[in-house]
Amino acid sequence: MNGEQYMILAYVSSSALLWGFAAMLWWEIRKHGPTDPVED
Amino acid sequence: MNRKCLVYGFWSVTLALFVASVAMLFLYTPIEKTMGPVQKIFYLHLPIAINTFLACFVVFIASIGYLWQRKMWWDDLAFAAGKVAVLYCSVVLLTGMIWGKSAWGSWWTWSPRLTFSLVLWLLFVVYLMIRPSIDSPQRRAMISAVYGIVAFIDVPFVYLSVKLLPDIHPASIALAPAMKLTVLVWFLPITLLALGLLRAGYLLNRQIRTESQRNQNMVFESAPPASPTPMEELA
Repeated sequence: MNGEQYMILAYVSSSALLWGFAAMLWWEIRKHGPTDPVED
Repeated sequence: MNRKCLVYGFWSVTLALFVASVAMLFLYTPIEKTMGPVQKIFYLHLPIAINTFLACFVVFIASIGYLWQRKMWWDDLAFAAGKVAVLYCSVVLLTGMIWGKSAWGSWWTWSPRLTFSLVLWLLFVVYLMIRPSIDSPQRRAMISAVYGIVAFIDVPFVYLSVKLLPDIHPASIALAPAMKLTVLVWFLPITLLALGLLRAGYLLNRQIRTESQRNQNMVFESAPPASPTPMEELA
């Protein structure tokens, strides 16, 4: 692999991790429904 | 404008800034002469690393907040920040390893900066792993808070190791003005993403705790009245 391929690998894998986690969180929030305040 | 519009707007802006930063990287940022295109990993690596420290700092502050006030929302915040810290630290290690393979010819080397970064990642992975093993919410929050404060101690070691110890990791990199601008632009989507994930994680934790409390209350309400003991029957 050359330098450009390593750079693309870094950006693609990092973006997949970051936005994949964001999508997972969004899906979890949708699954649990809207948030109501709760007393501590 | 309701809250839903604000949330969608926030995520749209974050995603647009991310796409614009990638476009800037390929269309505007010059290629560094010595290292070549692989040096461009730096523009993602640095903002992610700084935000990892910030996420760990939020765990630290929220843990102190819980121990001080014993409010459960501090624990929800610390847990959400712990997840962001692990995610961002994973990306720091990943991008660092890819850079290392291209620049040094090796995926990993046990230099002080890399070792302390791996220790930081492990500390916060353990932080996330110990939580489900404790049933009582108050006990879980207490143990997590103490652990979160102790785990933060590694952050100064990660930061200072490269300055105080001999290390293959560069301590600082001289950048041309266009490169400095690219780093600054990359800080925007990476920081906004961290804030968005922190808020979403906090709301999710709060919602899960609310559901758990409601379920417990329903169990207590639906439980049959206790039958009289033999002594009460005699009386």
